[in-house]
Amino acid sequence: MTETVFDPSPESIADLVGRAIPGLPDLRPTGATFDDLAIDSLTTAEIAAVVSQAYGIEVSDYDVASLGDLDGLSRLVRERIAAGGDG
Amino acid sequence: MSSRDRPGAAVLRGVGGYLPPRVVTNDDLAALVDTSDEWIRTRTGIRERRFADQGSATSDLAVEAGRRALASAGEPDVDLVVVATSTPDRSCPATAPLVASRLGLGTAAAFDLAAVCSGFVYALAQASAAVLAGLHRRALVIGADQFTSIVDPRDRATSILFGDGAGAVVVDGGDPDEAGSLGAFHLGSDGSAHDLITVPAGGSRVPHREVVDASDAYFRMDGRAVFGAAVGAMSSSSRRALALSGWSVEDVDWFVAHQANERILRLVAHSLGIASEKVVIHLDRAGNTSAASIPLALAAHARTFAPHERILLTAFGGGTTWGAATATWPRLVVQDL
Repeated sequence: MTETVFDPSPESIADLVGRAIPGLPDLRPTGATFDDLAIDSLTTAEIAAVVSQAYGIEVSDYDVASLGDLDGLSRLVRERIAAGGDG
Repeated sequence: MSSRDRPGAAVLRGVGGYLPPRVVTNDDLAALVDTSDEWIRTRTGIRERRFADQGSATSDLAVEAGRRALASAGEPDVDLVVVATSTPDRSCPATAPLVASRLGLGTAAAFDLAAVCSGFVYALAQASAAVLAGLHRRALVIGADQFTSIVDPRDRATSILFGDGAGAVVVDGGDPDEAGSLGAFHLGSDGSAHDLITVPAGGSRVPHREVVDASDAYFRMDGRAVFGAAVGAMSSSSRRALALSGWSVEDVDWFVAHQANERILRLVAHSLGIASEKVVIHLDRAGNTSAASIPLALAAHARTFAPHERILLTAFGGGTTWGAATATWPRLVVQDL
């Protein structure tokens, strides 16, 4: 039972990772960076793993850390889905 | 032997685990390296682990776990011993013949299997296949690792994660409907990620005589890259094993994954749709015991499981390697750890 979601909006991604990662702060505040939310390196790896699984694409912890916020992550997910994902 | 004589399933007949007595808490480690109990607990779920005494070797742990698994199985004859380990007593020869001999198993076939933290699932698969093929009648499968022998105690990234221990099961042929029957296995590897989990020196690539940087003789891991790879591989391998068994996710009573990091386990369970109360956690008491972690978790939770309950096993480790298996819990008595 893969959790497959096709909508890569910032809200959907925030919902998805919020359900998957206990104790994660809400990513949605407008303009907040992952740094502002005190997202550490292990959590970026968790976010990357959840997003990769859910959208069937490859997102690395480095991607998450360097994008820096939810809007950036949403754009990357859109691009990777458009590029075909990994099936 | 004709195919009609061959068993319909490999079946678990005994389970045993052994942890060395010396308990090392997070606070104990915080006195040695820059870390804290809170940091370790929130990032890994580990509260304490066991360290083998100086002078102990992996075979010592393996013999004790093997003895307990054989007792749990009623002291049967065994004609195959597989020791899954990446910390053998010596780089040559294998540890398994010594373990077989010390357990009084005569001239049983014995070999080591190196798949790091996936070693137990790999070894269980090979032993099951050997029993099903009629090559061996009964196997003792041991996952044993003394990671304190390869971890740098001053490296706070790895020294907090690992503990020493061993776990073992006895497998022979039986019926697919029996309690303890093993269902399907799925195994995989990706050697392009060879460097993610490694002891760089001491093998043929960098022999001891050519070691320049002493830290190359210690275990090394790219933790963040491993995190993502482990979640992906264990999730997909578990799905494959479930599909091969004809089980749905709802059929799974217990999820016993390699005990590396509670956050990885919970994420894999979430991705599979397995309820969190079905996730078996033993790493809080033992840390990451590499190839030993799954049979140790089985032994530690033996009183929780009921005969015929359905268990999904999965692991990810250096290589990289991964695997998953389905099994039902046997009807047997397991000695407390």
